[in-house]
Amino acid sequence: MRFNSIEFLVFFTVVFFALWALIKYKRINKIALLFCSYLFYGWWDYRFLFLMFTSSIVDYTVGYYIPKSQNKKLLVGISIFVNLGLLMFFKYFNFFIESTADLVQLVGFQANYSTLNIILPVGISFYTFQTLSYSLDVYKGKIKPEHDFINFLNYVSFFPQLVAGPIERAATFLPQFKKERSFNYENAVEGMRLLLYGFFKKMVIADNVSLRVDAIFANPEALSSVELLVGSMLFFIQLYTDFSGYTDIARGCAKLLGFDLMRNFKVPQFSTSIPEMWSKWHISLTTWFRDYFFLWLAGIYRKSTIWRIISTITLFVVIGFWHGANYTFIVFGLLNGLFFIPRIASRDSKNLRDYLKFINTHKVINKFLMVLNFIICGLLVIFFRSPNITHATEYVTRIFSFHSFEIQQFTLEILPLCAGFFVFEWFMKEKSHPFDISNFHPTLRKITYVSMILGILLFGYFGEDPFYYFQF
Amino acid sequence: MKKFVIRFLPFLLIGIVYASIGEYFLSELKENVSIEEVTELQKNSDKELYYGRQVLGNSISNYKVTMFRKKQPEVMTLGQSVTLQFRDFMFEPFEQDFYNTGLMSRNLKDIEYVTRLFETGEVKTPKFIFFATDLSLVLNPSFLDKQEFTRTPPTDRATESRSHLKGIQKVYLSAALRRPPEEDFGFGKAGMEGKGYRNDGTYRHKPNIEKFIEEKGLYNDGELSEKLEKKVIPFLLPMKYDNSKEKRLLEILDRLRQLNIELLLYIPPYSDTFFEKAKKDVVFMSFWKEYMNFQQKLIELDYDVIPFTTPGQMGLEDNYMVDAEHPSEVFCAIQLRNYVKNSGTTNPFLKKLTFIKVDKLLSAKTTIPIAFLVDDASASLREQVIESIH
Repeated sequence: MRFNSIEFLVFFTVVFFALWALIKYKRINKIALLFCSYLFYGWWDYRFLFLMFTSSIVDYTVGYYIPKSQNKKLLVGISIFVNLGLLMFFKYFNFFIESTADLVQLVGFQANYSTLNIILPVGISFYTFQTLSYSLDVYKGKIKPEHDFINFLNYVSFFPQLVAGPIERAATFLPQFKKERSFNYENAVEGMRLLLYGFFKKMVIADNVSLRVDAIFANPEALSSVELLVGSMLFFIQLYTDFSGYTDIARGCAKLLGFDLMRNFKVPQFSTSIPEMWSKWHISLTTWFRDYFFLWLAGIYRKSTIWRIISTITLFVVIGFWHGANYTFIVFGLLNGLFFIPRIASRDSKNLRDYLKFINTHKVINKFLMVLNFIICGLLVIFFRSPNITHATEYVTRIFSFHSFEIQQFTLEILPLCAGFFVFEWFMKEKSHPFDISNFHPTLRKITYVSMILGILLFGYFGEDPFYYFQF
Repeated sequence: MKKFVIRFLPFLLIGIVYASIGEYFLSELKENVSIEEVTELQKNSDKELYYGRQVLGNSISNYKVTMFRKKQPEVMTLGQSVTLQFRDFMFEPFEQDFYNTGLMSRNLKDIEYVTRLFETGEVKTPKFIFFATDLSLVLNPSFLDKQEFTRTPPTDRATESRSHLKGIQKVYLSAALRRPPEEDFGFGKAGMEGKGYRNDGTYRHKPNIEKFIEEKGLYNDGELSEKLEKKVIPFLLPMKYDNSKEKRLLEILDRLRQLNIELLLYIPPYSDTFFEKAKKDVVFMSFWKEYMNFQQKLIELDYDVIPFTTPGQMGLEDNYMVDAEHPSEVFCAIQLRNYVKNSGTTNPFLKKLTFIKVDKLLSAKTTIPIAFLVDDASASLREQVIESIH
């Protein structure tokens, strides 16, 4: 069931009233929420409910026995093996088979292989990471195991964030299922604001931009260098509005049900460097990898700058690969990782540190860096969007061939909408979220709500476009 | 909670008012009449009713499959849009048994499925099929091969909430779309104006006919030459002749024969303007040579085949074509009539065709190269033609 569907609006309305009606019956309320989450997920393909349940039961059991066990490593190893095993099989099996066969052929042998027709279960990359983080945190002693099985199942399957995050940590999210909840008007209004803003970003901006992006990426050889450059930046805008739109809807739904989800984006489009951009983009994923992978890896040779560079690049290659089983994502991650080198190298060089500080604090240079960084983000996501490396390199080569400066009307038409959106987010960038308009005059607030509702109804895209991150 | 619901209601009301006004427009334009209802009314109507949704979209394969299953015709056409001008009266005296399923089946998978429907008895086996074996059936790649149009047709957009929301958006943003038609010949904005699918499944090209009369018979290429030059759909590279597809097609034809269905195969024409340009295209001609060999093979296998032609080869002009690849109803009638009368066919079904109405219409003053203008919706156009003669 997609958020941008009539089915979901009906489903959520029923769930909202039903769960608040059952709020006094705590146990029944939890079971009802669990039923709703499983119904939501089963709407895609009921067969994958079993996978999610398997992942949940393994981590619940592992977490339950870790404190009492003599062999904690074995238990946490089981959790890692099962969760990453599921992910590897469903997401990467064919990629590894094909890559191995390519390698064998490269060294001159004949490779006979066959791939499997595997459907990628929606959200598997998200919920496996969420359950895995629970076992790892119990193992490290950061949290106590959850003994209530229903609470744990709810933690893994909470439907607003199930299919595309934010990837929540047990330490902050699990307690929310245990505490008493009561309806809070301010929270509900905040939830509605997030929902409205999320739908606007997805349906009015992301989906309309994607129509242009799809046309540009489908036929780059027929387009001018400028149009291709604009196309790459439009894709960055699409990706941001699509994914942050999803997160806003998820957070909005959660708030309406009395839960809080973490903020996943902090206006990353206004970053002055790639490292800063990553600290504001898909925060729940980057912090997950930082806490459970990077800190361990970088800690092996803590004092070595070279090792830190290697660890950072490795981290971004892994983050890139997390997105999909394709070399394009590996290259995307690698290129992003390279942009961290100056910052890491500045640990050993006071001059470099001073220089970076100067350009980041200088008012004019800072704005210039912001624009430059946005263009770089556009260039980097070419690898994210292209179906293969050849396509991506041809796309980039054509941009830098400076072949013609013509832009089609179809592409130009979308630019004022994107510019307007950026101006709005610029003025709202210090808020708790970009659509926190609680301090607006009540009349202006109402006008904003009505304009956005009409904007969605009149200019929103009502096609079948799923959220971009659902494929991961 | 109560406060929240009360404050939320006005915003919900905006949505409800928006949707209600939009639905009113869709209803006024008869866009929201379901395919189930349209086909039922068309099937039982003596009057010509046109089906043409301009706002919601036609869900065409669905429409054709629904009528095909309801009518289970004894005489039918099968194939792409090139068959859509073969009208019921051209198969006189079998008009009542006729249905044109053009665009219901668009690739080999579809045709195999239809054959299976006959073999299993799910649909009554027809006596005669006019089968357009157009080049997409043996072309590699064909963009049409990915879907199964007949087995899993698109859902009827009149029954889809998402399509309604899209449609409502369109009518709000376009004053021209909102304006109700002055006439009422059927269902959907276009259908009400007389542009769309008739009761017999054939298609009335209203704007082309009007333009033809207004511009006194100009030929319209329909951008096909440009598509060939740029190698875009339907001429995607490598544009090879596909022997495996040919084999599958011949097997299907044989299965249809074994069901005792009389077949007339049709290699659709091109306009002279287009074909002259195409002859200079090396890739196209390489494919074309093999396609013509296939045509010869069909003849040698003793099938009745209306072979490829251009209007010029029949002593006509390009304005007998709706565009570069679609023959007009007049051209279709001439092709069918000439084949039956001149080829010496032994096909028992074809020998029963009388062409009394076709002969009468071919000599009528109101017949123009692009249309016979016999429809009720053509009354004003007939007057214009008579006026222009005087």
